Amino acid sequence: MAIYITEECINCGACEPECPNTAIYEGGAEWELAGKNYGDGDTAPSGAEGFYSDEFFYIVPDKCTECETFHDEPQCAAVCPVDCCLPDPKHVESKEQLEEKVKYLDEIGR
Amino acid sequence: MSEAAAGEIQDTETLFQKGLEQFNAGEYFDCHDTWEELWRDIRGESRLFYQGLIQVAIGYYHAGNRNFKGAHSQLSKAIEKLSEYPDVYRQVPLRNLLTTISLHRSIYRDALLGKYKKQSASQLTPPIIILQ
Repeated sequence: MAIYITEECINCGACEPECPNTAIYEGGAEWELAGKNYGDGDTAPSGAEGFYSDEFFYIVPDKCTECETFHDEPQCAAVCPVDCCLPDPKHVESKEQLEEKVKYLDEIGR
Repeated sequence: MSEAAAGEIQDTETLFQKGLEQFNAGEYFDCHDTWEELWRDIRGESRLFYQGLIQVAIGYYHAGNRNFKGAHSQLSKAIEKLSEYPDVYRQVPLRNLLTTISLHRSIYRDALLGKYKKQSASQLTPPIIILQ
């Protein structure tokens, strides 16, 4: 499943540079996928919504692969000092689905 | 010990002491910044110890902002980690610290449930860490 950032986020920013897919954005920032920009209230191509935050860092589910094929564990969670990067129960994905997502992101150039 | 290794240990100690001063001065967010810099490169047995201390600092940071939910959550995470260490670890009297933060965690929980006055909960005196 994708990772999400809880409201316990203290905006330290440790997670953002660790993501191999640039799936993490600062609160209030627009996010980008396949050359298109999205913002508050926008639904992701997968149908995911409600993940955007203008207060805390947030993770775009369409871009999160839980670091599959890159690392042994999600790096955002590994570097978060307050343990606020958690598996998202609203976006449960199998290993195979995550690997497919990795391939897709490879194709569009992340 | 190599010069590089000696330098690394000094950095860890310097950062730890700096964070300790900030913690004891009530500068919890700055403390977390300092200890996070230290924790980032730590591997092995002490990693969860330093992370637990960071979570204590952030717990009291949240409490200072009357975010009792955040305070309760962070102190809970800290207790879970620090409870795995001896009574005194890296000169930090953990047993004493855990006693205080466990009590405060209960109060923050009660404040969330309306069983304790939020005004009083916000006036709890956080612990001071004095190395043994």
